[in-house]
Amino acid sequence: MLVLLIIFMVAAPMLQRGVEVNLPVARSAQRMSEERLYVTVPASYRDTGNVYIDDEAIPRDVLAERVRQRMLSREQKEVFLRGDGTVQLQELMQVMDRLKDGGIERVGIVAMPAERTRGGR
Amino acid sequence: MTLFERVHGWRATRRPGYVALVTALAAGISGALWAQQPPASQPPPSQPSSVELRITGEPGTPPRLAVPDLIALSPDKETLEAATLIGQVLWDDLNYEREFYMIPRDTYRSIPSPKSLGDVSFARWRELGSDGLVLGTVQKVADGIRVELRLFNVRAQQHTFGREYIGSVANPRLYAHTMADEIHDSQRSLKGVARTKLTFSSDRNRDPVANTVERRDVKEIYIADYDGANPRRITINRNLNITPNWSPDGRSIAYTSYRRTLPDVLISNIFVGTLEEPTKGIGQNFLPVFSPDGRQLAFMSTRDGNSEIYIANRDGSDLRRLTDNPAIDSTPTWSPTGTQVAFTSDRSGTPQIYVVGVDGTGLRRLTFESYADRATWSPAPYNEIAFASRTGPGFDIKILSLADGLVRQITFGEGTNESPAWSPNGRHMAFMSTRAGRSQIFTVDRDGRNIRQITHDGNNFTPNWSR
Repeated sequence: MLVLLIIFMVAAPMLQRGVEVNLPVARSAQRMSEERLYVTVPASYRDTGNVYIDDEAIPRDVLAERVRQRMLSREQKEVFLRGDGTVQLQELMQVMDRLKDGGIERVGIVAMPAERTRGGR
Repeated sequence: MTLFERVHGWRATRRPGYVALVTALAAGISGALWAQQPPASQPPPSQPSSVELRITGEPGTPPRLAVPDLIALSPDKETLEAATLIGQVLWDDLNYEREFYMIPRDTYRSIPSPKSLGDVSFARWRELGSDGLVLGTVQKVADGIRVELRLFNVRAQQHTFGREYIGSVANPRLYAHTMADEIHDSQRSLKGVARTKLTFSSDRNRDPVANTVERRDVKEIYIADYDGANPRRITINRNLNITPNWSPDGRSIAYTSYRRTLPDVLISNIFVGTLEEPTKGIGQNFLPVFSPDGRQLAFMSTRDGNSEIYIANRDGSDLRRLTDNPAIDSTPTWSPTGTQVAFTSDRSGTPQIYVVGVDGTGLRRLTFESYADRATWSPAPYNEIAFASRTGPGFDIKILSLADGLVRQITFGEGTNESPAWSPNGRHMAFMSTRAGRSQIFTVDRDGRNIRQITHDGNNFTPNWSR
């Protein structure tokens, strides 16, 4: 199984970053990246076969089509994958395979930065 | 046809007190004027005959529809095939107008097929992202099949729109086409093209023309559904029959025929099988086009020694010459109101598109291309003329907007692309292209997207779209 995806790791965003300032207004400013789409693979995936798109639980059979629908209006065919630490690589590959079917080109794997976890593993 | 056309119960809530008050005030203000009239009686309560329930998608996105196979209520092969075919054709028809996001049919596998129209697992269809769902049944009845189709709002889990058709099993596609047009009408206020037809000239039967030195295949006139299905041959005179044009009522086709060696205009009444000869064999006549009301024909003729545009009644009476120029004037097309005719003329040195009023006044040059031909005027509300423009070795389709004079290009040098013809709703064009090898008919949307190949057999030319 060859999955041609660009995979990268991102740190989970903090809720609030930086000090609140009134940013200058510029007409030619480019939009920052579109709203991120998160796909979550919970620990229960093994039993239920369900993943989450944002907050909505869906069976993995319809994941590709749902992701395709969400990507219709987007330039960047990108999702951020939040997997439970106990999810097996095989299970993650099943999900990535379906993301690829749904037209995804880039998958960001969301990880918690070590210094923010207890004990700093 | 027994249509159940289920209408959701909804009564106009009326406030008689308010109406009475307004009437009393009006009577008081203009009492003198109305003194002679009996007191205005309250109008009968108006009750709408139908209520439109529209399926919407998320803001900014088209509604997403799923159309699975219909449920076959009779176990025979014919019914089963019709059930699958109607679902597939309906999906294609709805996809064609790009008003809905059509969820691909191969993604429905994980959802259990319903056994009846009352047994819909809305939650599963919602998981697939569907806003609307078209379900239907096909049942064999004494004189054909009975097809029932329902559009469900998946979010609200309710039945929105339904139709029931009884008819022949010979052409199940027609049930899908009819339902598609009704869904586009009720959900999007759009006149769909699913039941329209194309006509074109084709050499697909590969007969050589009789009595010519040069070996040339005959071209006969054909018609087909807008998607190319159900092709049917209209002429059988074993000669060249080209440039067909539909009458507005879709019952006749005018075309140029060489069946008496010299080109002449003929009209075939395709359902009754009769032939009309409006030009009565006088001179050589080409390129007939029906006026929007179907009563007149514009055509090109060399009867006075040079190629000029003429207008005559459908029966050939009241012949009028529209152009008078030593250059070649050809390929007329009517404006949607029937008050102007656009045509090709090389009076400037190269063929360009011109427009003139049907009374011969207001002549104006429209295009400034290296070579422009085959103008075709769009139906309202778009005021545009599509034409073929030479862009290199071949031609490409361009569209001139008459409101602002801007020209935009639709095809880009894949083979040669010629003979555009608008669909009746102005959203699509049929044209001839050699992009796939031989000359074939394609359709394209007016923004240049959604290109589809319609014909595959032989060489096919000069399409025209029924109204």
